[in-house]
Parts: sequence; structure tokens; C-alpha cells
Amino acid sequence: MAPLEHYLIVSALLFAIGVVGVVVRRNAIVVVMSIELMLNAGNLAFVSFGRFLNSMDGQLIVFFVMGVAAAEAAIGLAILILIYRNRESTDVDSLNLLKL
Amino acid sequence: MTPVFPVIHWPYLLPVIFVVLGAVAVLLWDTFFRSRDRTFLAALTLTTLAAAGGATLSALPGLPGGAVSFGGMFVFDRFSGFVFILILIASFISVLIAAAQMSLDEAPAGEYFALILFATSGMMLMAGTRNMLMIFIGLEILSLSLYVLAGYLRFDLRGNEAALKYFLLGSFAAGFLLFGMAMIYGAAGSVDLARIASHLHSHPLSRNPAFMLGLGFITVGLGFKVAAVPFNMWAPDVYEGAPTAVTAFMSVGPKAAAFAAFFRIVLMVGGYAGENFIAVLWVMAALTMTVGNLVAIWQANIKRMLAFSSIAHAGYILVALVAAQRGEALATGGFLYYLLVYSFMNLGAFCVVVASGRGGEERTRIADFAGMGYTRPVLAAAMAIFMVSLAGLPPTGGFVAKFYIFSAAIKAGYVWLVVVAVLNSVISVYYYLRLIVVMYMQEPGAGVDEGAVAGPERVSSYAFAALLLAVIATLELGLFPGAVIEFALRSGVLLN
Repeated sequence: MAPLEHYLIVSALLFAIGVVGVVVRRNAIVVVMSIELMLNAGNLAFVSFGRFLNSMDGQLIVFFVMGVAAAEAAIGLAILILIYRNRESTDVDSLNLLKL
Repeated sequence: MTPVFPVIHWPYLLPVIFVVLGAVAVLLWDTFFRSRDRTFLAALTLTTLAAAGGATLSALPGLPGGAVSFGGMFVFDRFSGFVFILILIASFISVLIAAAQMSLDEAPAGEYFALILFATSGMMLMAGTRNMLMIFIGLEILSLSLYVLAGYLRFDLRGNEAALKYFLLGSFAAGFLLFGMAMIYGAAGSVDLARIASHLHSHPLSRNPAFMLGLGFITVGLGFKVAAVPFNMWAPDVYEGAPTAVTAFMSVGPKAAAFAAFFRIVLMVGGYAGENFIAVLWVMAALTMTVGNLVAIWQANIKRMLAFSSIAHAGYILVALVAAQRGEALATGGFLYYLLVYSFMNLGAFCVVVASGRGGEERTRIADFAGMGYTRPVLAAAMAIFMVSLAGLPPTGGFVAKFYIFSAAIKAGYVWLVVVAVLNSVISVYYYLRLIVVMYMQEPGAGVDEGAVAGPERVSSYAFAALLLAVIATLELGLFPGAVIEFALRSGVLLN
């Protein structure tokens, strides 16, 4: 079996890709996908730590996080659909009614 | 291996159970008897919150220090009890404000109150646990409800924008929080704060990169939720764009819950993190106060001004956190008292903003408040009291609360942080009192309704009830703070 470090490196990479995606991409749907990537990086870290610490906690937590992530995606997409209907765009930069 | 069933203390769970059942009842009632009338649903929500408050109060006296249910997933100690009461009061007043806001009349009523109740249950779960997973789940229950509430007026473009910004930045922060928790789990082998603390006691990890990274990411995640600088950029936009009643709710309750969780984490685990962690919190507190107060001066929109003011207040609370981290008992009690006073004065200020609107239209520019001392004397007087209290001047609750937090910080040895905080309080007096000047010393601008000048002042009975509660509490907590301070100080002891 691969050592713990390998899993953690993949997890850290996923997290970094997610963070960069949120910061760089302008399409709100891609931003939501990047956020999901961050959550899944956390999941991967939990699972691999759980496996290597011989503790069930890590494996269990992932199920809760997946449930939360699904609810979050549902609400996020609902908000996006609402915005698309009202203004025909999901570009984050076009959201400038409220001054920054 | 035989399964071990966790100990469950049902009486202490009752407040949360009441709130969740109430939320379901509101949803079901709305589904089967859909009507445009919000009065009944508001009453049902208020009853639920009152029942939960009663359950909390009746559970407190018999408490032998604390009760742990579900193996640490739910902890009811004096700290949780105080935060529960505070959250329930904040939700109660928010529901009154929501019932008074006319622009919400056009939106469906049932979901609104159900979401407020669900958010309340999330806050309570977040404040009453010592398990990091539960903190995450409570935070998400709370946040998901708030994302929907922020965009509740579906055809309002500003509301849409607020909801999306809140959602994107809030979930971004949740990602950080989760990853930080995973790192701490890896380093200390548990997500239960008590077990992490006992692990750290025997294996110091203050040089362990995973542990420190985890603590840092958790600070980022919770910093977003309490809108601490530099994680505050969402707050002004979301506060401005969301319906005012929702803004009132989210400026108080979620902040209280996130700070309660933050306190629990820092008090139980932060002590093992070493000086660098305290230094980070110190800088965050100083920055949050300064940026919040300085930027608030330039705001022309009252909701934005109150947003920056609430950022500044998060800074003062962080001062208490820094002091509490040093084991200063006064700091935790002062923090609880501050949150209580802050809830009343902030909700009161937002309530005035809601009540001063005409018809479905909101008046949120500071210039709209010109001459209000003569056209709407009752509202203006209430607003003046809240502003004085937010500025931290006697004889209001804001003064006493600041006094306790600052003296705790001095006792803990953070004299310079208190100097920064006091200078900030002086700056804040400028923009709080400017509103009073605008209300009493400027002529009403064009477009002020003449009817309000001649006829008696009309304030909806819900808004009036909310204002009465907030005004009495703000003055009472400033003039006769003894009993509540004592309660807060006794509640400042965490169950370990």
C-alpha cells in the first residue's frame, strides 16, 4: 500500500486546485465545482488519516461531509438558476450592483 | 466487541428538539393551509422560540456543571446554556422584525420562518458541542439556511447578488474549515476537542506542521463566518443586498454561534499552539477593529455602515478571545455579556431601519434619516439609544460590555491591544453620533412624507414590540448590569 504521504500530497494538490479555481475562474458554475473539489480534498485527507490511524472516525465523517456537500450543491445551483433567469449570465464579474 | 450506546441526556436536548420540531410544523402548516397571511406563522415561530428558551432556562439550575450527550457531540454546560438563550432571543427579535417588514409580504411566508428556525437549530448545535464534525455540520445547517434567506426576494437583483456572493465565499470558507479539521484529525487522532486536548497534553504538537496548518485553516474558516479582517469582504455587500430583516438576523445570531465555537476551540486546544497562534489572533483583532471603524466612516448607506460597524464589533470580541486564550476567566464572561448587549443594540438598529421604510419601499441612505427626530420622534429616539450603545458610551449596555472586555485584556497583559481598541472606540463615536446629528440637526430632505409630520407616528406593532424589547434591554444592561454580569461570568466556565 502506498504510504500516507502520497495520499496527503494528492489531497493537498486537490485542495490547491480548488482554491486556485475559486480565485481565478469567472464562471460561477466552475467556482462551485472548485469548492466541491476543496471539500473532497478534505474528504480524502479524512479517509487516509482514518485508514492509517486505524480509527473509524475518519471514514464516518466523510459520509456526513458528502451529505453536506450535496445539500450545498443543491442550494448553490438553485441560486445560480435564479440569477441566470433574472440576468442571463453566470459570470461572477457581472455581479456588480453592490459596490465592492 | 459489544456495541456501547452513548449516554443521552434528553432534557438538555429539548431546546434543540423544540426548535427543529417547530420548523417542521411551520413548513407543514404552510404546505397544507397555504395563505398570504404571515401573522399565524410568525406567532407559531415565536411560540417555538419561547418554548425552547423556557426549556433552556429550566434545564440550567439543576446543572451540575455540564452534561455530555452522544459522546461529546452535544455538550450542555453553562456556556452552551447562555449562548442558547442569547441565540433564541436574537431569533425571537429577528422574527418580530421580519413580521414588520412589508416587502417580505409578497414572498412566501412559510419557508422564511422555517428557515429562521432551522438556522437557529444549526447555531445551537454549533455552540453546544465539543466535536469538530458537529461544529462543521451546525455551521452548514446555519449557512445553507442563510444563503436562501439572503436571496429570499427572488426578483430583487441585489438580493440575488447578495445570495450568490454569500454562498460562494461562505462555501469557500467551509472548504478551509473542513480541510483544517482533517489536518488536526490527522495530527491528534480525533475530532473531539477534549480528546485532542488530552493528546496534546502528552504529545506537544506546537511544532507539528499539520496541526498548526489545521489550526490556521480553522481560524480562516471561522474568521469568514464572523467577518474578521482580512476575511470580511463579503459582509458589506451581503448586508446591503439581503432583505433588511435577514441582515438583522445574520449580523447577530451566526456571529454569536461562530464565536462560541471559536471560543471553545481556542480555549480547549489553542493553549497548546504556542505564542505564534496568539500573535495571529492579536493582529486579527487589531486589524478587524481598525478596518471596520475606519471604513464605516465613509459609508452613505446605513446597512453598509452597520455592516462595517459589526465587523468592528467582531474585532472587540476578538480582543476578548485573545485575553481568554491566556486563561483570563473574566474574558469569557465578558465575551458572553458583550454578545448579549451587541445582539440587542444591533437588532434594534436594524429594526429602526425596517420600521422607517414607507410602504414596501426601504429607506437605507443615511441622508434619508435627516430630520427624523421631528418626523418620527419615537424611532429617532430609539435609534439614538442604539447608536450611543454601539459607540460604547454610558449609560448603555455597550459601555459596560466594552469595560469588561477591555479590563479582562488588561488583566491578561495585552495593554497595547486595549490601547488600539480604545482608540477605535473613539473613532467609532464619530460615525455613530453623526447619524444622531443627521436625525436631529438637519432639515428633512425633499421627498419626506408630509403625513408623518402631521399625523401620529405609525409603527407596526411587531416593530414596536421588537424596539421595546431592544431599548429596555440596552438600557437595563447598562444601568443595572449586576445580575446578568454575574450570570455571564458564571457561564464563562467551560466543561472539559
